[in-house]
Amino acid sequence: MKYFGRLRVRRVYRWSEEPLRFNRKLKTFDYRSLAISVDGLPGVTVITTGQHILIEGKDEDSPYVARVMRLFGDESGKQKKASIRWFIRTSEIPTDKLKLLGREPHTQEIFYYQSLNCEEEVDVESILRPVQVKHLDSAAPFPDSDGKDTLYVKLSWDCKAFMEVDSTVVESMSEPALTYSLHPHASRRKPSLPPLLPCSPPAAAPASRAPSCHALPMPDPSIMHRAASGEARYTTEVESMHSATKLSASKCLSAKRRNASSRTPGVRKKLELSSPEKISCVDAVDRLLDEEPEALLAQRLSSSPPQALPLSHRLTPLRKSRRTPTSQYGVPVSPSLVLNRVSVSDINGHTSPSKDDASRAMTPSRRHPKTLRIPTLGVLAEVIDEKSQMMPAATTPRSSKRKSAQLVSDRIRKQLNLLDNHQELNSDCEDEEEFVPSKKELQSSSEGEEESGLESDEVEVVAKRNRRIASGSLTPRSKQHTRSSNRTPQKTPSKKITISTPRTPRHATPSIPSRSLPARQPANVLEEARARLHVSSVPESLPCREQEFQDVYSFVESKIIDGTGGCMYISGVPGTGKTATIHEVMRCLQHAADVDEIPPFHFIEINGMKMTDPHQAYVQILQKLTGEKATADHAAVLLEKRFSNPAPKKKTTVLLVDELDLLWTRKQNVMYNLFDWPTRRHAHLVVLTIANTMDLPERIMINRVASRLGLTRMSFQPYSFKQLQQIITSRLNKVKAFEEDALQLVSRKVAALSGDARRCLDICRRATEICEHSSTTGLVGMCHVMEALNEMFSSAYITAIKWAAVQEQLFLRAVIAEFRRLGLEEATFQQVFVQHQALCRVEGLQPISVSEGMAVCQRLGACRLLLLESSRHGVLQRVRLNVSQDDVLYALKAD
Amino acid sequence: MATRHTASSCFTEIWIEFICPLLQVQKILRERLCHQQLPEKPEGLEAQHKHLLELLKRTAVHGESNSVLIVGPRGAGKTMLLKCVLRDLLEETEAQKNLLQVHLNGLLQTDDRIALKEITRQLHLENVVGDKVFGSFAENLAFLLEALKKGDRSSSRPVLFVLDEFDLFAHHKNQTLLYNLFDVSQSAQAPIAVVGITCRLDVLELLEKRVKSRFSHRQIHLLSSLTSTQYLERVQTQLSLPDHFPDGQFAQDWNDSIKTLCRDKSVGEILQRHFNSSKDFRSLHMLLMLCLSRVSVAKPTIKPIDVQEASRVCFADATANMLRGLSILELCLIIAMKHLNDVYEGEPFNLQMVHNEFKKFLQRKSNSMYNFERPVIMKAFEHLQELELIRPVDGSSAKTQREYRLMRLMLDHSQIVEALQKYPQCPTEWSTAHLDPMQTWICCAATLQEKMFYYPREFLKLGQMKGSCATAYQIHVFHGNQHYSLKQGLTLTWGKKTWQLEWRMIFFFFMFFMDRCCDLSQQKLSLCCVAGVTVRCRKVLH
Repeated sequence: MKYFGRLRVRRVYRWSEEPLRFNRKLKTFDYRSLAISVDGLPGVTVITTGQHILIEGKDEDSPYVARVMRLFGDESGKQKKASIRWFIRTSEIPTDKLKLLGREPHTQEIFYYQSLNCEEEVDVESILRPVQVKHLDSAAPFPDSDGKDTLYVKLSWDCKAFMEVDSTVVESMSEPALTYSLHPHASRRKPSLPPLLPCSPPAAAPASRAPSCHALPMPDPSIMHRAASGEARYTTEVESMHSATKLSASKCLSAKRRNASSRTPGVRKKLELSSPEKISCVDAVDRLLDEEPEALLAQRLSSSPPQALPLSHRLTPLRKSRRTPTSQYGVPVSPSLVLNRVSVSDINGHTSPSKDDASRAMTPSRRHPKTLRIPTLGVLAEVIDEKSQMMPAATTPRSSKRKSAQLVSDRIRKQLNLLDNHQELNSDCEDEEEFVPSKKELQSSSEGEEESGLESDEVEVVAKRNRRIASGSLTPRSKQHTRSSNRTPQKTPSKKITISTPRTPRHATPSIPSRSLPARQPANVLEEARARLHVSSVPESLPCREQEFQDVYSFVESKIIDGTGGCMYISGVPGTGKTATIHEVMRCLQHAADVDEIPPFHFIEINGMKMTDPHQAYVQILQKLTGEKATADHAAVLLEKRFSNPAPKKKTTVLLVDELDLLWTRKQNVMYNLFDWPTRRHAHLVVLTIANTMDLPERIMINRVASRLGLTRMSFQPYSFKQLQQIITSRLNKVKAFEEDALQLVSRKVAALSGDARRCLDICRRATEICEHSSTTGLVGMCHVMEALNEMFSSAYITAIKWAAVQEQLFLRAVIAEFRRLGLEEATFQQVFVQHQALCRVEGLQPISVSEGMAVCQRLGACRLLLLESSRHGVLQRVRLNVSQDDVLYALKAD
Repeated sequence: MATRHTASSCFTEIWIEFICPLLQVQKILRERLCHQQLPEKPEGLEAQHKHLLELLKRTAVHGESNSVLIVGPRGAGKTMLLKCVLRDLLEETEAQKNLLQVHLNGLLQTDDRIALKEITRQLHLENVVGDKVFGSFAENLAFLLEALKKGDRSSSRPVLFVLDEFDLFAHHKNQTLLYNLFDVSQSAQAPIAVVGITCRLDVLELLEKRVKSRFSHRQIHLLSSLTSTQYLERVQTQLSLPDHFPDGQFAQDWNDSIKTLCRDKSVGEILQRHFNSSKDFRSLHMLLMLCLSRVSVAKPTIKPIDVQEASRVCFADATANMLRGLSILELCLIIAMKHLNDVYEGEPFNLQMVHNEFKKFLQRKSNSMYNFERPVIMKAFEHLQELELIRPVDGSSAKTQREYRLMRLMLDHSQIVEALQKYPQCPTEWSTAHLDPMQTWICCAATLQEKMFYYPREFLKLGQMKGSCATAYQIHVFHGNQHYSLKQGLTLTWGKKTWQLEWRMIFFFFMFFMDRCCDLSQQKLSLCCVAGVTVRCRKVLH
């Protein structure tokens, strides 16, 4: 709290010089330095890239420490941002983790923070002042007194273990920042070096690395040392000791930290979440996991676009060999993204057999990217003073996301009975394959690689991420991703803003009374799976609809930004995720709007099925827009006025019209208006329409309506079996309730029939029930799924005939006999009855009376085994079969 | 004093010994047969019961939304199953406190507007905003959707929607109600369970594809796989008295008698015939009910003869019975029509053709038949049409003259033959008696009814019928000088036979057939009572 008081001292931030260059792709200007002046004080503090800074945190006494990597702002100059690398104070590391250090930490000691979970972009407004940070050799003592403002770095911390920190990080610290400002690329790239290298075996490394020194703008002798040095690992895994409370506390902290910097929603974020990293058997873990992947992703997104450019400069042959696949795709290079990198190359190693030694040598690290081992850096060229003051230990790590991620993977491994952390490569492959049976085949094709990211259900969170990056740029789709994400350079999880659709104030309406007893939570795995498989359980992401998501997103976003209007028609058979995708888009856009990334907008939704009359559409739109109630005609007038007259500061309205075909009227004026309004200059209206049939505009719309709808069309294809499988897997989210074959059977069956995701989920849900009743093994197997499929898809006609009463069966036979006699598929009751009497005699049964026969006939008609005319025709009513004759004969023959 | 005392105690003894247990038997069995009491457990439907119970329990307890269809032929026990499940479900306090129920019937809620109002009423939502709810249809829908949307899985009370005659809901415009219910059940709104009950096997084909996609495709089929031996056993259990019957000895005797009854060969045949005709229990219950009503103090058991009699009533052909109530002239016309049908192979005919045919018939037997005048024949023809024994051909315009309007005979060959065989000796002297006893009966009964309600002591006049007895209440033509008073009773003359009847008997029979009418279909109420009374009367008369 005190801290905010201090903040009130007004600081003025401005760029101290002209921009270095303009990044056209991102629409940002890069700057070299930033000037901070405090009101009333004459001095101006200049912060340049490469310098270390203090960033305001929760605690006034120990603000966060970070290093500026890059300064940039947008075109308008309103937003000033800094891309940074975090350091962590001893007070932020949990006490029990501090034990791993093996010594008492120094008060002024800080650690290089290697976690993927922290926001790497901050507003410059949060910068307090520069600070001096020095790197110390791990063995060197802390210098005695270097003033309060000097901090020392010896090790890095990745939430699990302390590791030797690379001197390149240090090097830049000790040297004046100006040096780097001349070579911004180099300075930026350097920190990423060390994590890359450690994995390469010492034997292979020197040869390739030697020339790299020359290529560097700043010759770096430390690389040589590093190459020769052995591997000293500090990787002690202690995750199991971590209590849930601490985890959540640390989560809060990291969330807070992320909040400190301004955020923008991740465009792709939600989609990415499709990957089922989460596993939920323990609540605490679950909660953590909720945040974890997003954080990861957010970070990746936030950091990747700005760093795409620097990467394209290759520094060393070694780099080249290792990075070629990645760098051209704009993989972020930053200390915290080391893991990404490693696994990227790892994946590439998988796919391209022409990998050099270096890359092959990296493979060991791939198994456990989270527990990456960084070899000690050995003796560094620089000598730094040492100080040995001990700091009081605090309990809060900067972020424990990584921890939770590891917990996840650990749990999965346990589930898979692969407990050993140090397994061979092969075992790990199996590990992955168990989840993703189709992964290999997917990887074999270049397009499959794209999909593998989507489909795979793997243990390694990070590895997966990277594969997506690596493969992403291969296709035009990923270009769109980057483009759209350009506008929103900072990505953060949107978890907190789940419901973002603007709600117009409404009249108080009653709701269903609330329960007297709370609903019970799922108790076992099957119940858990069932809850997850329910169609209503809102998924965090929509797998398999990335392309459509992107298209809609960019369409709506561009319209909102331009302040124009437009229509889009979306078609697809039921259960292909049309409405869900649009809602997802809207959630993301709303999030973007909430952080001022795009102008604010209204989102309203009407559904043709949820209104009684097409003209009610006006009423509903008006009510959702303004809260007014009006009759349909009046509402139409009001809306007309609203959309055709200019108004100041008009928000764009996004209107989703679901089940469009029901808005059809004879004169089609509802449709006409809906599509005409967006074309008005002042309307600022985007209309998204959804219907089932692809050619609806051609079929039911008259020309002037169809023309206004335009040609922006999109069609949602029914899901293929792979997609369905992926949807189930992502929903199940590592709850191991199904056998792999069973899942495949369901998805293949549904894909063959309709491609309806709802059906697929329903069948799975039913299968879990059957499994529960049969009470055999814990897993839902083929037999259960088969039973569920039979229940849902087999028609009951044959069974119904089989179990019908004798006279009913006879009557059906009489019907067929009469049809054969007539050569028609229709006969009157009287005719059939004659046959029936004859059959009765043949069967040795007492012939029935006409009214009894009529009753039999009516009963069959009620079941719709027969189709009958209305009964007022009496004996003259015509009879038709509703089942094929073969089916009837088959059913009758069986007994 | 003493004698009176003995008399009353004697009566009490009789009461306790004979009448009281019989009344209890009647009560217990009638409750069972009239479906007023749910069975302990649905027999033969255990698996379905478990499935449905689990499903609804999950909604009630876990707040999981579900939708399910119960499909089965009429009388298979669909509603009974659901009721049993609900009874068992509500035994759990957790479910009882939470579950809200909405029962809709496709026959009552014939469109979505009515259905929505009914839902709002049953959910007790109407009080919340005063009378606002019952505004327009559109407001009502928006209101209900909003209410359901506000809920969520864990906090709001689950709602059970039972849609009886589910297939009829599918005929509502756009299937709005079904779409919205299924949509709620597939989204994270208030937890609801939609249970549809229908007898149509093709019910899913009725649903629009987007509605269908939202339905969970759970179907519970009730197809009885009953064998005839099981059927017999079921009859026995249905008629047996429970162990907790107060009079143990009586129960023992009763159950033994039921056992012997079921072992009887003729009863076995009858039941087998019933079983062959239909497996549903409702028709069986009707049969047993008829047997049960014949149990009296004098005859405290069900005898095989009772079953036979009941079965005869059940299997009676209604149309053939109606034929027996026709006048000779009408019957002759029908025979003429049948001739025409045979000659022209089912081609439609008109009055003229029938008349010609009838005249040919008369020429052959000129001595025995009176040649009616054309208007009389026309009336008889119209009467037949009103009884729906003949029907005008579809599309034959009303403009055509009545004589030439094309008609079809709605009777089967076998029905006519049967009716003729059972018809009392066809009169040889048409001229002497223009009334047959049946029609007199109708006249009596109908007129009596009117008289009884309006002029209780009026004289009843009967005479020759001129015109038709289209509706039994419109007979006002009397024969000149014959007067009958109610006190004296009626004297009916038919040929050389004479019947003396007291009005009380007439009244009794009248009431009897009125009672019987209620069993028949509502549509043809008036016509059927005519037929009914004829049957009954004939029996009594002979």
